[in-house]
Amino acid sequence: MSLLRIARPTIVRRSLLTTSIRCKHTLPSLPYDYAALEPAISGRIMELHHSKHHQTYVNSLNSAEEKYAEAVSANDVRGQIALQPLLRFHGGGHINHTLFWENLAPKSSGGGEPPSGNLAGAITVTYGSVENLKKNMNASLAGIQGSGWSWLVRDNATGALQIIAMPNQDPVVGKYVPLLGIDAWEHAYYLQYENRKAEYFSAIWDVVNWKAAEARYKAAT
Amino acid sequence: MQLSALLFTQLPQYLLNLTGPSATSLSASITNPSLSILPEDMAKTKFTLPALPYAYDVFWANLAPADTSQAKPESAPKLTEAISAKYGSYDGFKDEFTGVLLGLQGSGWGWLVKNEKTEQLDIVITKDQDPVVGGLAPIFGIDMWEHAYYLQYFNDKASYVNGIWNIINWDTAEGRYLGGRGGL
Repeated sequence: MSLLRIARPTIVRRSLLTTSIRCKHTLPSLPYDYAALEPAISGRIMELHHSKHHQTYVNSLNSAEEKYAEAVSANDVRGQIALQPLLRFHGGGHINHTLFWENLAPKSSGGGEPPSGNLAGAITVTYGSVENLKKNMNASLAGIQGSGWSWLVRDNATGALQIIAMPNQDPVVGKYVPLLGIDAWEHAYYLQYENRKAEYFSAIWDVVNWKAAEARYKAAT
Repeated sequence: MQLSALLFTQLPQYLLNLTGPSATSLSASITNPSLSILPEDMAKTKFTLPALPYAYDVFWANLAPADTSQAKPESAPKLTEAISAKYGSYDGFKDEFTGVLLGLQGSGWGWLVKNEKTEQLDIVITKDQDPVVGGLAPIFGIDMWEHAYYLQYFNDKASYVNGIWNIINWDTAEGRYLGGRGGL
């Protein structure tokens, strides 16, 4: 899914003689109500997570990109480099959460229904079963120190499926294509599960949208 | 922020297993959190295990209920003098420290430290549960992991940081600044 679909271009006037077009990122709408993923994820968490946390990543990304554009215009390389951690953090946060909302769905819309098609075949080959994949993914999630995400990915170099953990908001880049992401930041579960994160990792599979993962897998193959 | 409310109603289960802190003499009654009260998955992970209880040892001892004399910066005359010298004023120091805390990406802690060689003060960040190392002595630390504030403040970490300034144990901080290892 291209993030450009949800960004609206704005014309930025730099001087009387030149203008440039830059895309302003916006918070994507959820295709379901905040309470629709209950009991796996509470409506309160979904509301805070989407309307506050993700919105902040969007706002901060826009702000960082604006400053970065100014630094580029001014040929200020040090300024550009100083901004890169902000672009990585907030840009990654925007990308990761956009993918996350898409790979969740209410049970009534297929959340939790097992994968099918080519992805299901690849899962069987690599993990033996979906249950075993879940075990591996939950182990990856439990092993995250601090804040981060675990992702089921396709390694484009080999074609194989893999599970990788990414720290903070680092996005999946390079040879890996993200298929399914699970947020292990405390804000993703704390209000409901407190420190019992294993319970959260177990429960979230009830609302995983395998259709989204299949579509991403198809697009990558 | 009422410390009693924070400690007894908002902290995760493993933090509540500290035995017998009274609301008025918290620093005196802190016991070392033992590994057995950590969530099972944390104990099995690759955290640097000695560092995890260490950070909390330092943290609990550098908090005090807001209505005690320990919670007033006046309890730390030498330290506050050094703070004013370095940061211009107590408020200037608070603003700078607050900015550092709010800029922390991911999980971690903010610390006021003293360089053991030069005796200079500094504000540093440690990632995840990394301890303060490298010849720096912690004076006080502030936990910025989401679990430290989320149940009470949700995503509003600015309000959490504003509130925690009211419960810093300046008496302990002064002791650490002057060379004691109070609370460690």
